[in-house]
Amino acid sequence: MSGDDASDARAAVAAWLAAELGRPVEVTAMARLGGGAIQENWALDVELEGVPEAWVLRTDAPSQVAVSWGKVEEFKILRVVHAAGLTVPRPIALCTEPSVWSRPFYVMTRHPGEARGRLLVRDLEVDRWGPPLVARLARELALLHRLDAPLESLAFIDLPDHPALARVAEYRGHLDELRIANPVLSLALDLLAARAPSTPRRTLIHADFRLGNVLVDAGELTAILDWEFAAFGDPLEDLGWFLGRFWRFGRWSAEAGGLASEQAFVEAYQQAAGVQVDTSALLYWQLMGTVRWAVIALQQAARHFVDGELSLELALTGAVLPQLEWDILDLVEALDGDR
Amino acid sequence: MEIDDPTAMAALLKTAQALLRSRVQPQVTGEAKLDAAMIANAMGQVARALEHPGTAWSALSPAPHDVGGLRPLVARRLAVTNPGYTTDVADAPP
Repeated sequence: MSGDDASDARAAVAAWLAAELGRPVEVTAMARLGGGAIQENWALDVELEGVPEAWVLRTDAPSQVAVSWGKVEEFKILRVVHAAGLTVPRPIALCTEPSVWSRPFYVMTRHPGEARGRLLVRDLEVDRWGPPLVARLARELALLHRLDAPLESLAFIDLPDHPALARVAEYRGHLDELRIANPVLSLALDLLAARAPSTPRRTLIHADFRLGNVLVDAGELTAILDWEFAAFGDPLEDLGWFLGRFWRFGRWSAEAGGLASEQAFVEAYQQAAGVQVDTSALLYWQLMGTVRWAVIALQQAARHFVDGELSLELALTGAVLPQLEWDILDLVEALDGDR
Repeated sequence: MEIDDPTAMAALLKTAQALLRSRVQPQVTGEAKLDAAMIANAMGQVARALEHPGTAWSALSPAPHDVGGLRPLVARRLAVTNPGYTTDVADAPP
């Protein structure tokens, strides 16, 4: 964005915010935040009736991923989880007027902290703050999973009859679209279809709950971010995803996000949720999560190598496939031996 | 040795990778440092792929459909993309 464009954008956003909030608003600074290939986030320094505020303007990047929600839906999800008491940014306002910005956007509060998992797990004091943070994250998930489906305000989200089988069908569909026959994924999906647990509850799930999507400041959670994949499903999907080996950023033995043990994470969740987590079902959803990430890796690679969306990040994401296949084989063995 | 010889190409990429890591990465910070690391990583992967041809699934037919049969095939591809991974995670839970 050029200097003139940036100035115009600031003025347009400020005028819209003032009209929306019915209060004087000045946007004193606006700067693009890094990270994210499918989202665009801008830090807004705002004066609301002369009082400084730190906000974020969030919109879609030009290259959108079909499976993620648009900003209108994401704003509705954020409102629901904020009202439920989760530690998330406060949603402020939603804009769908192209005269203000070329794509729909919403504004929310901005919070301090670091999200990059690779940096967090290498913090010199991670052994001190890691386990308490994981316990906190488990409690946040327990709070989220109290939101049983259906929810009238989120009626746009599909409600699968059987979340596990729906995911199996979804991933098989993606592989068919890519025209990929992968024996490891085929083996895993067959097992996931055969061993699909019955799911008495379907709740709202984050569906991408991991380091990278939580802000941590001095070891404390400040915000859970990126609700664009939220869905109705089995709550264990969130736990299984968080425990995936690929989200440990090299601290392989710290099963919960590279920060703490699986046992500590699950015990905190059980205590907060008032449920007993079935370990076999949890293993099932870890396998499902690893298959999901493998499918995403193939999709990202296809965007680069087939669709011509040249990006080193996309290409390298595809290169993690063998590592995921190895993890999948470990999980298949563990699940098969867990009969 | 011709320039299109895979061994020569791999050696060239490894030289470039080493220069990137020893000369460029130390001089940059922040996002540029991460970008340089990513580029160096990519160069290493391509070099190893050139040194280990025929690692695609398409070269293996028919593929087994059990864990025991698939492990060696995945391990061979991992040796190209992420050598050391299997030993790194050997004692870690899945």
